[in-house]
Amino acid sequence: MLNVKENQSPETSRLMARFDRLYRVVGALAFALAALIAPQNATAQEARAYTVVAATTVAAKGFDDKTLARVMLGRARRVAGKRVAVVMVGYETPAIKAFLKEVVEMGRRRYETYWRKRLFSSRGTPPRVVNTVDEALAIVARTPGTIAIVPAETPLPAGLHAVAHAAPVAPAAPVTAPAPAPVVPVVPPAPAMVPAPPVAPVAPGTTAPVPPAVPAPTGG
Amino acid sequence: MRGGYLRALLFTAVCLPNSALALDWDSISLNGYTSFEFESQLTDDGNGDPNHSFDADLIDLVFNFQITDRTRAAVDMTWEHGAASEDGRGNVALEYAFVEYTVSDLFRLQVGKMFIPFGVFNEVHTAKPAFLSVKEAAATNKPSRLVDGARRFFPRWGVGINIRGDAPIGDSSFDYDLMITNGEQEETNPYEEDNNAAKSVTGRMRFYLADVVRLGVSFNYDKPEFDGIERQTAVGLEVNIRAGRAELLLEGAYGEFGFIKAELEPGAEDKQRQLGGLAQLSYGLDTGTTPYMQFQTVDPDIDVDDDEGFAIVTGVNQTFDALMFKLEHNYVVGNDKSSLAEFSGSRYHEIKAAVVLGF
Repeated sequence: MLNVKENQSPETSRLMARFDRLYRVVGALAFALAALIAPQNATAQEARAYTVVAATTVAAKGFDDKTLARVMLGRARRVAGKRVAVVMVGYETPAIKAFLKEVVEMGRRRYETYWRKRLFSSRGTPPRVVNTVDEALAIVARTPGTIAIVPAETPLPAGLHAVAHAAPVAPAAPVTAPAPAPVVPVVPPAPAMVPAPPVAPVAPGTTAPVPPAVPAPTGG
Repeated sequence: MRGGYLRALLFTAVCLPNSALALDWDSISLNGYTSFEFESQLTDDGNGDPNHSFDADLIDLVFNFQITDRTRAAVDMTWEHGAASEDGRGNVALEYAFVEYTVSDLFRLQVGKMFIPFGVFNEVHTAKPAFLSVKEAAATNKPSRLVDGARRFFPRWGVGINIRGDAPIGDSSFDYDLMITNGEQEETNPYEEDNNAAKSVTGRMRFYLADVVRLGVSFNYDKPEFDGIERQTAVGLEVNIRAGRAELLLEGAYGEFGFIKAELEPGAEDKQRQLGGLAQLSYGLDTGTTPYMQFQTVDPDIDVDDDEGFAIVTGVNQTFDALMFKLEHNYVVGNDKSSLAEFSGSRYHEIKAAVVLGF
Protein backbone atom coordinates (compact mmCIF):
# COMPACT_ATOMS: atom_id res chain seq x y z
CA MET A 1 0.00 0.00 0.00
CA LEU A 2 1.18 3.53 -0.79
CA ASN A 3 1.85 5.95 2.05
CA VAL A 4 0.22 9.33 1.89
CA LYS A 5 2.45 11.70 3.81
CA GLU A 6 1.09 14.67 5.72
CA ASN A 7 3.18 17.26 3.89
CA GLN A 8 1.74 16.27 0.50
CA SER A 9 -0.70 18.64 -1.16
CA PRO A 10 -4.40 17.62 -1.24
CA GLU A 11 -4.10 17.22 -5.01
CA THR A 12 -1.20 14.83 -4.65
CA SER A 13 -2.96 12.98 -1.87
CA ARG A 14 -6.08 12.44 -3.99
CA LEU A 15 -3.94 11.26 -6.90
CA MET A 16 -2.07 8.88 -4.67
CA ALA A 17 -5.30 7.57 -3.20
CA ARG A 18 -6.69 6.88 -6.65
CA PHE A 19 -3.47 5.16 -7.61
CA ASP A 20 -3.73 3.10 -4.46
CA ARG A 21 -7.26 1.95 -5.38
CA LEU A 22 -6.14 1.16 -8.92
CA TYR A 23 -3.22 -0.81 -7.52
CA ARG A 24 -5.57 -2.86 -5.37
CA VAL A 25 -7.94 -3.54 -8.26
CA VAL A 26 -5.11 -4.57 -10.57
CA GLY A 27 -3.69 -6.76 -7.85
CA ALA A 28 -7.03 -8.42 -7.27
CA LEU A 29 -7.50 -8.99 -10.98
CA ALA A 30 -4.03 -10.46 -11.29
CA PHE A 31 -4.74 -12.79 -8.37
CA ALA A 32 -8.04 -13.85 -9.89
CA LEU A 33 -6.37 -14.45 -13.23
CA ALA A 34 -3.65 -16.49 -11.61
CA ALA A 35 -6.28 -18.46 -9.74
CA LEU A 36 -8.02 -19.19 -13.01
CA ILE A 37 -4.88 -20.18 -14.87
CA ALA A 38 -3.21 -22.29 -12.19
CA PRO A 39 -5.89 -24.99 -11.96
CA GLN A 40 -5.97 -25.19 -15.74
CA ASN A 41 -2.25 -25.93 -15.82
CA ALA A 42 -2.68 -28.55 -13.18
CA THR A 43 -5.56 -30.07 -15.13
CA ALA A 44 -3.49 -30.11 -18.28
CA GLN A 45 -0.80 -32.10 -16.52
CA GLU A 46 -3.27 -34.51 -15.02
CA ALA A 47 -5.01 -34.87 -18.36
CA ARG A 48 -2.18 -36.93 -19.77
CA ALA A 49 -4.12 -39.99 -20.77
CA TYR A 50 -1.12 -42.26 -21.10
CA THR A 51 1.98 -43.38 -19.36
CA VAL A 52 5.07 -45.15 -20.60
CA VAL A 53 6.09 -48.15 -18.55
CA ALA A 54 9.01 -50.54 -18.55
CA ALA A 55 10.57 -53.14 -16.34
CA THR A 56 12.35 -51.69 -13.32
CA THR A 57 15.58 -52.95 -14.88
CA VAL A 58 15.13 -50.18 -17.44
CA ALA A 59 16.26 -46.85 -16.04
CA ALA A 60 13.70 -44.06 -16.19
CA LYS A 61 16.01 -41.71 -18.04
CA GLY A 62 16.32 -40.66 -21.64
CA PHE A 63 12.63 -41.09 -22.41
CA ASP A 64 11.84 -37.48 -23.22
CA ASP A 65 9.12 -36.76 -25.77
CA LYS A 66 11.52 -36.18 -28.63
CA THR A 67 13.24 -39.51 -28.04
CA LEU A 68 9.92 -41.29 -27.57
CA ALA A 69 8.73 -39.90 -30.89
CA ARG A 70 11.86 -41.18 -32.63
CA VAL A 71 11.40 -44.57 -31.00
CA MET A 72 7.77 -44.70 -32.12
CA LEU A 73 8.87 -43.85 -35.65
CA GLY A 74 11.59 -46.50 -35.65
CA ARG A 75 14.28 -43.89 -36.15
CA ALA A 76 15.75 -44.66 -32.75
CA ARG A 77 15.92 -48.23 -31.57
CA ARG A 78 18.25 -47.59 -28.67
CA VAL A 79 17.76 -45.35 -25.65
CA ALA A 80 20.62 -44.72 -23.26
CA GLY A 81 22.59 -47.33 -25.18
CA LYS A 82 20.03 -50.12 -24.80
CA ARG A 83 17.62 -51.55 -27.34
CA VAL A 84 14.01 -50.52 -26.92
CA ALA A 85 10.94 -52.15 -28.42
CA VAL A 86 7.42 -50.80 -28.06
CA VAL A 87 4.13 -52.49 -27.32
CA MET A 88 0.84 -50.66 -27.05
CA VAL A 89 -2.88 -51.23 -26.83
CA GLY A 90 -5.07 -50.63 -29.86
CA TYR A 91 -5.02 -47.47 -31.91
CA GLU A 92 -8.60 -46.63 -30.92
CA THR A 93 -7.73 -46.47 -27.24
CA PRO A 94 -7.98 -42.83 -26.07
CA ALA A 95 -4.56 -43.12 -24.43
CA ILE A 96 -2.90 -44.20 -27.66
CA LYS A 97 -4.76 -41.59 -29.69
CA ALA A 98 -3.55 -38.93 -27.28
CA PHE A 99 0.00 -40.28 -27.24
CA LEU A 100 0.23 -40.31 -31.04
CA LYS A 101 -1.17 -36.80 -31.24
CA GLU A 102 0.82 -35.21 -28.44
CA VAL A 103 4.13 -37.05 -28.58
CA VAL A 104 4.47 -38.44 -32.11
CA GLU A 105 2.42 -35.57 -33.58
CA MET A 106 0.65 -37.83 -36.05
CA GLY A 107 -2.87 -39.13 -36.48
CA ARG A 108 -3.51 -42.83 -36.74
CA ARG A 109 -3.85 -42.83 -40.51
CA ARG A 110 -0.61 -41.02 -41.14
CA TYR A 111 1.21 -43.12 -38.57
CA GLU A 112 0.05 -46.35 -40.19
CA THR A 113 0.96 -45.08 -43.64
CA TYR A 114 4.40 -44.12 -42.38
CA TRP A 115 5.00 -47.57 -40.92
CA ARG A 116 3.76 -49.48 -43.95
CA LYS A 117 6.43 -47.83 -46.07
CA ARG A 118 9.06 -48.41 -43.43
CA LEU A 119 8.08 -51.99 -42.63
CA PHE A 120 7.88 -53.17 -46.21
CA SER A 121 11.15 -51.49 -47.16
CA SER A 122 12.95 -53.55 -44.49
CA ARG A 123 13.59 -50.64 -42.14
CA GLY A 124 12.22 -52.36 -39.04
CA THR A 125 8.91 -53.27 -37.49
CA PRO A 126 6.20 -51.04 -36.04
CA PRO A 127 5.22 -51.09 -32.37
CA ARG A 128 3.47 -54.29 -31.46
CA VAL A 129 -0.26 -53.78 -30.95
CA VAL A 130 -2.07 -55.94 -28.40
CA ASN A 131 -5.68 -56.12 -27.30
CA THR A 132 -5.44 -55.51 -23.58
CA VAL A 133 -3.33 -53.55 -21.15
CA ASP A 134 -2.55 -56.72 -19.24
CA GLU A 135 -1.18 -58.32 -22.36
CA ALA A 136 1.05 -55.28 -22.88
CA LEU A 137 2.25 -55.38 -19.28
CA ALA A 138 2.94 -59.09 -19.50
CA ILE A 139 5.11 -58.57 -22.56
CA VAL A 140 7.00 -55.76 -20.84
CA ALA A 141 7.55 -57.94 -17.79
CA ARG A 142 8.96 -60.87 -19.75
CA THR A 143 10.82 -59.04 -22.54
CA PRO A 144 13.82 -56.97 -21.49
CA GLY A 145 13.98 -53.55 -23.10
CA THR A 146 10.31 -53.38 -24.02
CA ILE A 147 8.29 -50.31 -23.12
CA ALA A 148 4.51 -50.10 -23.19
CA ILE A 149 2.23 -47.18 -23.86
CA VAL A 150 -0.77 -47.72 -21.60
CA PRO A 151 -3.60 -45.64 -20.15
CA ALA A 152 -2.44 -43.42 -17.30
CA GLU A 153 -4.72 -45.03 -14.75
CA THR A 154 -3.20 -48.46 -15.28
CA PRO A 155 -2.13 -50.10 -12.02
CA LEU A 156 1.37 -51.44 -12.43
CA PRO A 157 2.39 -54.82 -11.11
CA ALA A 158 5.58 -55.19 -9.13
CA GLY A 159 8.64 -55.14 -11.32
CA LEU A 160 7.31 -52.43 -13.65
CA HIS A 161 7.56 -48.67 -13.35
CA ALA A 162 6.76 -45.59 -15.33
CA VAL A 163 9.69 -44.26 -17.34
CA ALA A 164 7.85 -41.27 -18.81
CA HIS A 165 4.64 -39.36 -18.26
CA ALA A 166 4.03 -40.78 -14.82
CA ALA A 167 1.25 -38.70 -13.35
CA PRO A 168 2.10 -37.23 -9.94
CA VAL A 169 0.83 -39.32 -7.06
CA ALA A 170 -1.18 -37.32 -4.53
CA PRO A 171 0.24 -38.03 -1.08
CA ALA A 172 -3.12 -38.24 0.69
CA ALA A 173 -4.73 -40.62 -1.71
CA PRO A 174 -4.84 -44.10 -0.23
CA VAL A 175 -4.93 -47.20 -2.33
CA THR A 176 -8.52 -48.23 -1.75
CA ALA A 177 -8.61 -50.90 -4.37
CA PRO A 178 -7.76 -54.32 -2.99
CA ALA A 179 -5.55 -55.86 -5.57
CA PRO A 180 -4.88 -59.56 -5.75
CA ALA A 181 -1.33 -59.06 -6.95
CA PRO A 182 1.15 -56.48 -5.65
CA VAL A 183 0.07 -53.33 -7.42
CA VAL A 184 1.58 -49.87 -7.48
CA PRO A 185 -0.82 -47.26 -8.81
CA VAL A 186 0.61 -44.81 -11.29
CA VAL A 187 -1.97 -42.23 -10.30
CA PRO A 188 -4.22 -42.06 -7.28
CA PRO A 189 -7.39 -43.96 -7.95
CA ALA A 190 -10.19 -41.75 -9.09
CA PRO A 191 -13.59 -42.12 -7.44
CA ALA A 192 -14.86 -44.07 -10.42
CA MET A 193 -11.88 -46.36 -10.44
CA VAL A 194 -12.71 -49.88 -9.45
CA PRO A 195 -10.36 -52.40 -7.92
CA ALA A 196 -8.06 -53.80 -10.54
CA PRO A 197 -8.56 -57.47 -11.21
CA PRO A 198 -5.44 -59.52 -11.80
CA VAL A 199 -6.02 -59.54 -15.54
CA ALA A 200 -7.91 -56.32 -15.93
CA PRO A 201 -9.11 -55.31 -19.37
CA VAL A 202 -8.72 -51.74 -20.47
CA ALA A 203 -11.12 -49.51 -18.60
CA PRO A 204 -14.56 -49.03 -20.17
CA GLY A 205 -14.32 -46.60 -22.99
CA THR A 206 -10.70 -47.46 -23.58
CA THR A 207 -11.18 -51.01 -24.74
CA ALA A 208 -9.71 -51.30 -28.17
CA PRO A 209 -11.26 -53.31 -30.94
CA VAL A 210 -9.00 -56.10 -32.10
CA PRO A 211 -6.54 -54.23 -34.26
CA PRO A 212 -4.29 -55.70 -36.88
CA ALA A 213 -0.87 -56.48 -35.46
CA VAL A 214 0.48 -54.16 -38.10
CA PRO A 215 -0.97 -50.92 -39.36
CA ALA A 216 -3.85 -51.45 -41.70
CA PRO A 217 -3.45 -50.00 -45.16
CA THR A 218 -4.49 -46.48 -45.75
CA GLY A 219 -3.83 -44.03 -48.49
CA GLY A 220 -0.14 -44.21 -48.97
CA MET B 1 22.90 -98.03 -37.50
CA ARG B 2 19.23 -97.38 -36.93
CA GLY B 3 19.98 -96.84 -33.24
CA GLY B 4 22.57 -94.25 -34.22
CA TYR B 5 19.99 -92.28 -36.21
CA LEU B 6 17.55 -92.51 -33.33
CA ARG B 7 20.12 -91.24 -30.87
CA ALA B 8 21.03 -88.39 -33.20
CA LEU B 9 17.38 -87.49 -33.61
CA LEU B 10 16.78 -87.55 -29.87
CA PHE B 11 19.91 -85.50 -29.28
CA THR B 12 18.73 -82.92 -31.80
CA ALA B 13 15.24 -82.83 -30.33
CA VAL B 14 16.62 -82.26 -26.87
CA CYS B 15 19.22 -79.70 -27.87
CA LEU B 16 17.32 -77.52 -30.28
CA PRO B 17 14.74 -76.07 -27.91
CA ASN B 18 17.50 -75.24 -25.47
CA SER B 19 19.66 -73.48 -28.00
CA ALA B 20 20.98 -70.18 -26.71
CA LEU B 21 19.59 -68.44 -29.81
CA ALA B 22 16.16 -70.05 -29.83
CA LEU B 23 13.55 -67.38 -30.41
CA ASP B 24 10.28 -66.91 -28.61
CA TRP B 25 7.29 -65.43 -30.43
CA ASP B 26 7.90 -62.00 -28.92
CA SER B 27 11.06 -61.85 -31.04
CA ILE B 28 9.41 -62.78 -34.32
CA SER B 29 7.03 -60.75 -36.40
CA LEU B 30 5.18 -61.88 -39.49
CA ASN B 31 3.71 -59.33 -41.88
CA GLY B 32 2.80 -59.31 -45.50
CA TYR B 33 0.46 -58.23 -48.24
CA THR B 34 -1.53 -59.50 -51.17
CA SER B 35 -2.73 -57.80 -54.32
CA PHE B 36 -5.39 -58.83 -56.79
CA GLU B 37 -5.48 -56.67 -59.92
CA PHE B 38 -7.49 -55.98 -63.03
CA GLU B 39 -6.30 -54.22 -66.17
CA SER B 40 -8.29 -53.22 -69.22
CA GLN B 41 -7.04 -51.26 -72.20
CA LEU B 42 -9.77 -49.03 -73.55
CA THR B 43 -8.26 -48.33 -76.95
CA ASP B 44 -7.74 -50.76 -79.82
CA ASP B 45 -3.98 -50.66 -79.68
CA GLY B 46 -1.44 -49.88 -77.01
CA ASN B 47 0.88 -51.50 -74.48
CA GLY B 48 -1.96 -52.23 -72.09
CA ASP B 49 -4.13 -55.31 -71.62
CA PRO B 50 -6.79 -55.57 -74.38
CA ASN B 51 -8.26 -58.76 -72.84
CA HIS B 52 -9.45 -57.19 -69.57
CA SER B 53 -7.44 -59.61 -67.44
CA PHE B 54 -7.46 -60.47 -63.78
CA ASP B 55 -4.09 -60.89 -62.12
CA ALA B 56 -3.31 -62.72 -58.89
CA ASP B 57 -0.49 -60.24 -58.62
CA LEU B 58 1.21 -61.50 -55.51
CA ILE B 59 1.26 -62.68 -51.97
CA ASP B 60 4.27 -61.57 -50.02
CA LEU B 61 5.40 -62.58 -46.54
CA VAL B 62 7.80 -60.51 -44.46
CA PHE B 63 9.56 -62.05 -41.46
CA ASN B 64 11.60 -60.18 -38.90
CA PHE B 65 13.62 -62.10 -36.33
CA GLN B 66 15.16 -60.19 -33.45
CA ILE B 67 17.90 -62.69 -32.75
CA THR B 68 19.69 -60.77 -30.02
CA ASP B 69 19.69 -57.25 -28.66
CA ARG B 70 21.68 -56.03 -31.67
CA THR B 71 21.09 -58.63 -34.36
CA ARG B 72 18.06 -58.84 -36.63
CA ALA B 73 17.34 -61.07 -39.59
CA ALA B 74 14.78 -59.92 -42.16
CA VAL B 75 13.30 -62.07 -44.93
CA ASP B 76 10.79 -61.17 -47.63
CA MET B 77 9.41 -63.92 -49.86
CA THR B 78 6.98 -63.42 -52.68
CA TRP B 79 4.80 -65.56 -54.90
CA GLU B 80 3.68 -63.64 -57.96
CA HIS B 81 1.03 -64.27 -60.59
CA GLY B 82 -0.20 -67.54 -59.13
CA ALA B 83 3.22 -69.12 -59.09
CA ALA B 84 3.19 -72.76 -60.21
CA SER B 85 6.68 -74.05 -60.90
CA GLU B 86 5.46 -77.29 -62.49
CA ASP B 87 3.81 -75.27 -65.23
CA GLY B 88 6.50 -72.65 -65.42
CA ARG B 89 4.01 -69.96 -64.41
CA GLY B 90 4.47 -66.92 -62.26
CA ASN B 91 7.45 -66.02 -60.18
CA VAL B 92 8.77 -67.03 -56.79
CA ALA B 93 11.42 -64.74 -55.39
CA LEU B 94 13.39 -63.89 -52.33
CA GLU B 95 12.96 -60.14 -52.33
CA TYR B 96 15.44 -59.69 -49.54
CA ALA B 97 17.13 -61.74 -46.88
CA PHE B 98 19.73 -60.05 -44.78
CA VAL B 99 21.24 -59.96 -41.33
CA GLU B 100 21.55 -56.61 -39.60
CA TYR B 101 23.88 -55.78 -36.74
CA THR B 102 23.17 -52.53 -34.91
CA VAL B 103 26.19 -50.73 -33.50
CA SER B 104 24.12 -47.63 -32.88
CA ASP B 105 21.12 -45.94 -34.49
CA LEU B 106 23.58 -44.09 -36.69
CA PHE B 107 25.45 -47.22 -37.76
CA ARG B 108 23.76 -50.47 -38.72
CA LEU B 109 25.55 -53.07 -40.78
CA GLN B 110 23.57 -55.30 -43.14
CA VAL B 111 24.79 -58.24 -45.22
CA GLY B 112 22.79 -60.35 -47.64
CA LYS B 113 20.40 -59.77 -50.51
CA MET B 114 18.72 -56.37 -50.30
CA PHE B 115 16.70 -53.90 -52.31
CA ILE B 116 18.86 -51.23 -53.89
CA PRO B 117 18.14 -48.10 -51.80
CA PHE B 118 17.53 -45.69 -54.66
CA GLY B 119 14.71 -43.17 -54.81
CA VAL B 120 11.18 -43.49 -53.48
CA PHE B 121 9.74 -46.69 -54.87
CA ASN B 122 12.32 -49.41 -55.39
CA GLU B 123 12.27 -50.75 -51.84
CA VAL B 124 8.47 -50.93 -51.88
CA HIS B 125 7.93 -51.68 -55.56
CA THR B 126 6.00 -54.87 -54.79
CA ALA B 127 4.42 -53.56 -51.59
CA LYS B 128 1.11 -52.34 -52.93
CA PRO B 129 -0.14 -51.17 -49.51
CA ALA B 130 2.78 -48.75 -49.35
CA PHE B 131 1.83 -46.47 -52.26
CA LEU B 132 -1.30 -45.04 -53.78
CA SER B 133 -1.24 -46.17 -57.40
CA VAL B 134 -1.76 -49.68 -58.77
CA LYS B 135 1.81 -49.91 -60.05
CA GLU B 136 4.94 -48.19 -58.82
CA ALA B 137 5.98 -45.14 -60.84
CA ALA B 138 7.31 -46.50 -64.13
CA ALA B 139 9.17 -43.34 -65.10
CA THR B 140 11.80 -43.73 -62.41
CA ASN B 141 11.62 -47.46 -61.70
CA LYS B 142 10.77 -49.36 -64.87
CA PRO B 143 10.92 -46.77 -67.65
CA SER B 144 10.71 -49.38 -70.40
CA ARG B 145 7.11 -49.96 -69.27
CA LEU B 146 6.37 -46.47 -70.52
CA VAL B 147 8.49 -46.24 -73.65
CA ASP B 148 10.75 -48.66 -75.48
CA GLY B 149 14.47 -48.00 -75.56
CA ALA B 150 14.56 -46.82 -71.97
CA ARG B 151 16.72 -48.66 -69.46
CA ARG B 152 16.48 -49.18 -65.75
CA PHE B 153 18.36 -46.49 -63.91
CA PHE B 154 19.53 -48.97 -61.28
CA PRO B 155 19.12 -52.68 -60.50
CA ARG B 156 16.26 -53.85 -58.27
CA TRP B 157 18.37 -55.92 -55.89
CA GLY B 158 21.94 -56.43 -54.85
CA VAL B 159 23.95 -58.86 -52.78
CA GLY B 160 26.59 -57.30 -50.63
CA ILE B 161 27.06 -55.03 -47.65
CA ASN B 162 25.00 -52.04 -46.62
CA ILE B 163 25.56 -49.44 -43.92
CA ARG B 164 22.44 -47.66 -42.77
CA GLY B 165 21.62 -45.16 -40.07
CA ASP B 166 19.27 -42.55 -38.66
CA ALA B 167 20.07 -39.48 -36.59
CA PRO B 168 18.32 -36.33 -35.35
CA ILE B 169 19.39 -32.79 -36.21
CA GLY B 170 17.45 -30.50 -33.92
CA ASP B 171 13.79 -30.89 -34.80
CA SER B 172 14.72 -32.54 -38.08
CA SER B 173 16.48 -35.79 -38.88
CA PHE B 174 18.22 -37.68 -41.61
CA ASP B 175 18.85 -41.24 -42.67
CA TYR B 176 21.34 -42.74 -45.06
CA ASP B 177 22.29 -45.94 -46.88
CA LEU B 178 25.64 -46.80 -48.38
CA MET B 179 25.76 -50.13 -50.19
CA ILE B 180 28.33 -52.12 -52.10
CA THR B 181 27.09 -55.09 -54.14
CA ASN B 182 28.00 -57.38 -57.00
CA GLY B 183 26.03 -55.30 -59.48
CA GLU B 184 23.60 -56.40 -62.13
CA GLN B 185 24.38 -58.88 -64.91
CA GLU B 186 22.99 -62.03 -66.43
CA GLU B 187 26.14 -63.94 -67.30
CA THR B 188 26.14 -65.55 -63.87
CA ASN B 189 23.86 -65.34 -60.86
CA PRO B 190 24.73 -61.90 -59.43
CA TYR B 191 23.43 -63.03 -56.06
CA GLU B 192 26.09 -65.72 -56.00
CA GLU B 193 29.07 -64.31 -57.89
CA ASP B 194 30.12 -61.27 -59.87
CA ASN B 195 31.07 -61.31 -63.53
CA ASN B 196 33.88 -58.85 -62.98
CA ALA B 197 36.01 -57.40 -60.22
CA ALA B 198 34.23 -54.06 -60.20
CA LYS B 199 31.50 -53.52 -57.64
CA SER B 200 28.29 -51.57 -57.71
CA VAL B 201 28.00 -48.70 -55.23
CA THR B 202 24.69 -47.17 -54.17
CA GLY B 203 23.98 -44.41 -51.72
CA ARG B 204 21.02 -42.43 -50.53
CA MET B 205 20.56 -39.66 -48.00
CA ARG B 206 17.24 -38.25 -46.90
CA PHE B 207 16.52 -35.24 -44.73
CA TYR B 208 13.24 -34.94 -42.84
CA LEU B 209 12.56 -31.31 -42.09
CA ALA B 210 10.13 -31.28 -39.17
CA ASP B 211 8.33 -34.21 -40.81
CA VAL B 212 6.70 -31.84 -43.28
CA VAL B 213 9.31 -31.83 -46.01
CA ARG B 214 11.50 -34.73 -47.07
CA LEU B 215 14.46 -34.16 -49.35
CA GLY B 216 16.48 -37.03 -50.72
CA VAL B 217 19.33 -37.71 -53.09
CA SER B 218 20.40 -41.11 -54.41
CA PHE B 219 23.19 -42.41 -56.63
CA ASN B 220 24.20 -45.69 -58.18
CA TYR B 221 27.37 -46.57 -60.03
CA ASP B 222 28.26 -49.85 -61.67
CA LYS B 223 30.48 -51.39 -64.31
CA PRO B 224 28.26 -54.22 -65.49
CA GLU B 225 30.30 -55.08 -68.62
CA PHE B 226 27.16 -56.76 -69.80
CA ASP B 227 24.51 -56.17 -72.46
CA GLY B 228 26.83 -53.77 -74.26
CA ILE B 229 27.14 -51.48 -71.23
CA GLU B 230 30.55 -50.84 -69.78
CA ARG B 231 29.50 -48.54 -66.97
CA GLN B 232 26.37 -46.83 -65.77
CA THR B 233 25.70 -43.99 -63.40
CA ALA B 234 22.39 -42.82 -62.00
CA VAL B 235 21.49 -39.89 -59.79
CA GLY B 236 18.06 -39.37 -58.25
CA LEU B 237 16.36 -36.55 -56.43
CA GLU B 238 13.19 -36.71 -54.37
CA VAL B 239 11.08 -34.09 -52.64
CA ASN B 240 8.01 -34.80 -50.55
CA ILE B 241 5.98 -31.92 -49.17
CA ARG B 242 3.02 -32.32 -46.84
CA ALA B 243 0.61 -29.45 -46.30
CA GLY B 244 -2.32 -30.52 -44.18
CA ARG B 245 -4.13 -33.25 -46.07
CA ALA B 246 -2.37 -32.52 -49.35
CA GLU B 247 0.88 -34.17 -50.31
CA LEU B 248 3.18 -33.46 -53.22
CA LEU B 249 5.79 -35.97 -54.30
CA LEU B 250 8.42 -35.09 -56.87
CA GLU B 251 11.03 -37.53 -58.09
CA GLY B 252 13.59 -37.30 -60.84
CA ALA B 253 16.31 -39.63 -62.08
CA TYR B 254 19.16 -39.11 -64.49
CA GLY B 255 21.07 -42.04 -65.94
CA GLU B 256 24.14 -42.27 -68.12
CA PHE B 257 25.02 -45.55 -69.80
CA GLY B 258 28.48 -45.90 -71.38
CA PHE B 259 28.67 -48.59 -74.02
CA ILE B 260 31.50 -51.05 -74.56
CA LYS B 261 33.33 -49.37 -77.44
CA ALA B 262 34.54 -52.62 -78.99
CA GLU B 263 30.95 -53.74 -79.45
CA LEU B 264 29.74 -50.49 -81.01
CA GLU B 265 28.89 -50.21 -84.66
CA PRO B 266 30.87 -47.55 -86.52
CA GLY B 267 29.48 -44.07 -85.93
CA ALA B 268 27.26 -45.13 -83.05
CA GLU B 269 27.06 -42.99 -79.93
CA ASP B 270 29.19 -44.35 -77.12
CA LYS B 271 26.72 -43.39 -74.43
CA GLN B 272 23.05 -42.91 -73.72
CA ARG B 273 21.73 -40.28 -71.35
CA GLN B 274 18.27 -40.84 -69.95
CA LEU B 275 15.88 -38.80 -67.84
CA GLY B 276 12.79 -39.82 -65.88
CA GLY B 277 10.44 -37.78 -63.76
CA LEU B 278 7.37 -38.11 -61.59
CA ALA B 279 5.04 -35.56 -59.97
CA GLN B 280 2.26 -36.87 -57.76
CA LEU B 281 -0.37 -34.83 -55.95
CA SER B 282 -2.73 -36.45 -53.47
CA TYR B 283 -5.27 -35.37 -50.91
CA GLY B 284 -6.17 -37.66 -48.00
CA LEU B 285 -9.66 -37.47 -46.52
CA ASP B 286 -10.77 -38.70 -43.11
CA THR B 287 -12.98 -41.26 -44.82
CA GLY B 288 -9.87 -43.10 -46.00
CA THR B 289 -10.37 -41.81 -49.52
CA THR B 290 -7.30 -40.43 -51.25
CA PRO B 291 -7.65 -39.09 -54.78
CA TYR B 292 -4.35 -38.76 -56.59
CA MET B 293 -2.91 -37.63 -59.87
CA GLN B 294 0.46 -38.51 -61.34
CA PHE B 295 2.40 -37.06 -64.21
CA GLN B 296 5.27 -39.17 -65.47
CA THR B 297 7.76 -38.62 -68.23
CA VAL B 298 10.66 -40.58 -69.67
CA ASP B 299 13.20 -39.27 -72.12
CA PRO B 300 15.11 -42.43 -73.09
CA ASP B 301 17.83 -40.53 -74.92
CA ILE B 302 18.39 -36.88 -74.18
CA ASP B 303 20.39 -36.52 -77.38
CA VAL B 304 17.47 -37.66 -79.54
CA ASP B 305 14.55 -35.29 -80.03
CA ASP B 306 10.88 -36.23 -79.81
CA ASP B 307 11.39 -39.70 -78.32
CA GLU B 308 9.76 -38.94 -74.96
CA GLY B 309 6.88 -40.84 -73.45
CA PHE B 310 4.38 -39.47 -70.92
CA ALA B 311 1.74 -40.88 -68.61
CA ILE B 312 -1.04 -39.16 -66.72
CA VAL B 313 -2.53 -41.35 -64.02
CA THR B 314 -5.71 -40.23 -62.30
CA GLY B 315 -7.08 -42.41 -59.55
CA VAL B 316 -8.63 -42.89 -56.17
CA ASN B 317 -7.40 -44.98 -53.29
CA GLN B 318 -9.90 -46.11 -50.67
CA THR B 319 -9.07 -47.90 -47.45
CA PHE B 320 -11.63 -49.99 -45.68
CA ASP B 321 -10.66 -51.96 -42.60
CA ALA B 322 -7.41 -53.70 -43.55
CA LEU B 323 -8.22 -53.53 -47.24
CA MET B 324 -7.20 -51.00 -49.83
CA PHE B 325 -9.04 -50.47 -53.10
CA LYS B 326 -7.41 -48.72 -56.03
CA LEU B 327 -9.01 -47.56 -59.24
CA GLU B 328 -7.20 -45.46 -61.80
CA HIS B 329 -7.12 -44.34 -65.39
CA ASN B 330 -3.82 -44.34 -67.26
CA TYR B 331 -3.38 -42.09 -70.26
CA VAL B 332 -0.10 -42.85 -72.02
CA VAL B 333 1.11 -40.72 -74.90
CA GLY B 334 4.37 -40.34 -76.77
CA ASN B 335 6.12 -37.99 -79.13
CA ASP B 336 6.58 -38.73 -82.81
CA LYS B 337 9.88 -40.60 -82.49
CA SER B 338 8.90 -42.58 -79.40
CA SER B 339 7.84 -46.21 -79.53
CA LEU B 340 4.32 -45.03 -78.71
CA ALA B 341 4.08 -43.46 -82.17
CA GLU B 342 3.10 -46.86 -83.57
CA PHE B 343 -0.27 -46.60 -81.85
CA SER B 344 -3.19 -44.62 -83.15
CA GLY B 345 -2.65 -41.02 -82.14
CA SER B 346 0.58 -42.08 -80.35
CA ARG B 347 -1.51 -42.79 -77.30
CA TYR B 348 -3.63 -45.32 -75.45
CA HIS B 349 -5.93 -45.45 -72.42
CA GLU B 350 -6.09 -48.12 -69.75
CA ILE B 351 -8.10 -48.75 -66.60
CA LYS B 352 -6.37 -50.44 -63.67
CA ALA B 353 -7.84 -51.61 -60.39
CA ALA B 354 -6.55 -53.49 -57.38
CA VAL B 355 -7.73 -54.98 -54.11
CA VAL B 356 -4.86 -54.96 -51.65
CA LEU B 357 -4.55 -56.43 -48.19
CA GLY B 358 -1.78 -55.45 -45.82
CA PHE B 359 -1.12 -57.09 -42.48
